[in-house]
Amino acid sequence: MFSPTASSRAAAADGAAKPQRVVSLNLCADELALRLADPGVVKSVTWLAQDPRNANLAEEAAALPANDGHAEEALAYDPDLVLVGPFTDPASIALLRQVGAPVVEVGAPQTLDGVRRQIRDLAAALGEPRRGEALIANMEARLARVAVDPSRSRLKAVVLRPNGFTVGPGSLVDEILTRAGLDNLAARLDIAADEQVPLEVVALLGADLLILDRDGSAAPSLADAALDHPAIAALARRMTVTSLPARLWTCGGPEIAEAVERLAAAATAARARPATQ
Amino acid sequence: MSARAQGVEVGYAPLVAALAALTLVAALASLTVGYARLDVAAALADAFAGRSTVAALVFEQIRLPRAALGAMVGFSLGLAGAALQGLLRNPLADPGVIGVSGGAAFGAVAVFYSGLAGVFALAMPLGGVAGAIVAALLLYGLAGRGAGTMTLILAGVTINSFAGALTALALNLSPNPYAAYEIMFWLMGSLADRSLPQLWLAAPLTVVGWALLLSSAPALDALSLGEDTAASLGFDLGRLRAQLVAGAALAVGAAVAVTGAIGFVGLVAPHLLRPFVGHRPGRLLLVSGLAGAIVLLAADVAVRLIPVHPELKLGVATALIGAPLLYGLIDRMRKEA
Amino acid sequence: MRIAARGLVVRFGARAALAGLDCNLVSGELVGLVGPNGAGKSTLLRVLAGLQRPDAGEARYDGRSAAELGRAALARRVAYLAQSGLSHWPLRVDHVVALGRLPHRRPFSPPSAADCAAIEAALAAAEVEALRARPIGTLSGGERARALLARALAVEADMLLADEPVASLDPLHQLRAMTLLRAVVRKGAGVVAVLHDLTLATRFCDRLIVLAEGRIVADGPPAALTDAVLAEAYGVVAVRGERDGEPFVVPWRAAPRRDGS
Repeated sequence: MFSPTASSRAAAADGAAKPQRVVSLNLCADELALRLADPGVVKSVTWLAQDPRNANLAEEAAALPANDGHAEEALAYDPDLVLVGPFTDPASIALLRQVGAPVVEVGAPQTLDGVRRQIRDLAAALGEPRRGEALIANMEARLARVAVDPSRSRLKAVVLRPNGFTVGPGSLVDEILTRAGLDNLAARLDIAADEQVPLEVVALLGADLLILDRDGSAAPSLADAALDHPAIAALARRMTVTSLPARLWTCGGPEIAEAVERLAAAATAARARPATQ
Repeated sequence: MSARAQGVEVGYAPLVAALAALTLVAALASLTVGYARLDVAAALADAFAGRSTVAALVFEQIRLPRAALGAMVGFSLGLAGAALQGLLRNPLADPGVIGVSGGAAFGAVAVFYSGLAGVFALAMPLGGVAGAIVAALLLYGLAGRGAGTMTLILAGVTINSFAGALTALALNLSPNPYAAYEIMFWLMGSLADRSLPQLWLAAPLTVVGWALLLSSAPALDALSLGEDTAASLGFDLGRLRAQLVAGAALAVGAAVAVTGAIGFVGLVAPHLLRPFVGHRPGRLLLVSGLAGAIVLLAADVAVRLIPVHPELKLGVATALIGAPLLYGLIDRMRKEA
Repeated sequence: MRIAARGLVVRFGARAALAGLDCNLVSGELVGLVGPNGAGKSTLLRVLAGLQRPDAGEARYDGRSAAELGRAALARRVAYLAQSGLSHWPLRVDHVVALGRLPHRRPFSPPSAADCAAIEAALAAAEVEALRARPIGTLSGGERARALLARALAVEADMLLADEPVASLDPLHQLRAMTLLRAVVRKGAGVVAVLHDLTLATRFCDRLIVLAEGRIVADGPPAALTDAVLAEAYGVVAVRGERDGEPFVVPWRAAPRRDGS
């Protein structure tokens, strides 16, 4: 049975002292924690953070022991802060709370405002408020550099993810697209936030820019193979296609700036392309 | 015996012609039904004129393979079902029920997720064929020589359970995190967004399978009277078994590798058509194939018309019809025994 | 056709079903194959029909082995009627009988005039014409046996090997079937029938082959079925008689055992 040591309980209650043993059970929390905390403070991250295809700080994460998101794994480090997320097993979260471990939940922000708020909240929990502000400032600067001429009409874009999923209205990607000067055509379809869209619908939308969520991963899966459909190759001859790996926007961290930069560059390339029928 | 056994036998040639026409109608329906409004006539005109419009693209690359595969896979499943029923002398033998489709799914999964299919494209349907052969051999070993219905069903349950577990294991072991969620495709099947390359990949093996199965018609007729009588009528039983196992494995294995395991078509199609051919297993083969194509195309149209997101898996639709039918068949056989 | 079998041995595990057996069969004879249960009658018939390969010895058809003759030719010239009269599917009687023409038909070609004639003749001979459209599963046991016999007759083979063709028939149809087999023989074919009814065997057969424990105990005209043979092969004592010049043999009681008990 876990017995919080006097020091860790005191630290959690106090809030003034910085946590010294942080365990993260969620990919997005992994990445933010690695960015914000001192080296050596984060004791363990999830195995997902170590996969370079799906994570942004794979190298740093690989140096740490990996966990599977279970409560017992976190408790083994006698943590003074445990970070969980929307996909952490609720039973694990409940168990951690029950034994009195300090738990902070990280969300999945769907707006840029939400992203800023998330960074600030987590920075506060880690006792690094100034680092949080610096991260946000850096992100804002990069976003500002992406100049979008409001007078030009917005390019029509559609996002295609593995298994034929797209991104609907009201999501973070939607906002990223808008920031990059693009019009998310999928938002016009009568679908919820993230849904599967049949390929023929994507083809007939008449987009200028097709954004593929892929990065040439090695291990095969049907989901990725769905993006190999000859129709997509044929579409690529008629419109600009760019790839945008999901890791840049799934977590709503500062890496979304890179996503916006890439999209803006693709939009410029699309505009430069001679018109096809 | 029931009145159904008296049959409503009709002429063979008219029956085949009618079924072929119905298959064409079903294929046309499949081409015109979809999620986006497509002017099919315009798309066809564009395609023939060589104009590469988006409409022609959607028609050629998305709708056409879906319809063609629906017909091809449906024919394979109907034909294989009729052939297996003739071989095992049991109306319940369906590639899904007896485990051949499950074995094929595992074979295809093992080849695909190990990366072999990336090296050599034909490896995937061949993997499906290999899995189907192993399952068929296992089944024949348990239930081959005129074993009763119960043994047959139990053997099928065993093989399906094992193949399903191996498939799930292979998917979980795959390095790609999406893989574990793809089991629904493999176990329930789908025709959504299949491509022309997949059609060309599966077609040659499938056609060879068809030839092996269809040519066994006289032997299956003779087998109605038992193995000894069939042998005395000049048929080589060992060769017949090999021919049927190979043919079913080729047709079903290649199909499953492209569409996943779609069950019950090989049960429903022969069952519907049997009275029309006087229960003769030889004549049942071709008409059962055509009926299978019609059934699968119709199911695929239904799946696209039902407003459910994400799209209902084809195997769900066929199981909703086929499983109650299976129940009814078993119940009837139990009562007649 | 002449079938010559030499030194036939068939073993099932440790047991020898046929223990070194010679026999000659020729068209134009109605041969009754008799003997107690387990004597090897069905096994012998199956070997002669080419369905079972003997562990030793061989059967030759007009001097040629089964392999030399070829599967198709053997099927056309030797017809086999299995003991268990089943049809796995509810086929119509005329379709069942038509199966007998398979050895003569080219695959996927329609039946020829000769095929149709043979089918009609077989239906008539077995007296199942009236049943032609009935599914075979709806027939009584005796009717089914006659329908299956018609199937074997439709082959129009030189030699018909029938395993208990009259066992399930009522007395009237037993007599009619045996008369039919005599007619088949008169037309030139040969018939070998496994029979349990000793009176039918002695009245209708030209020759009897008595089997016991995988060996031939007697082979000759019906008179060869002596009391000694009956005792040795069957272990029974029979009552004999005669009516209108035809013999009857009725098993009456168990024979006394050799040790006197």
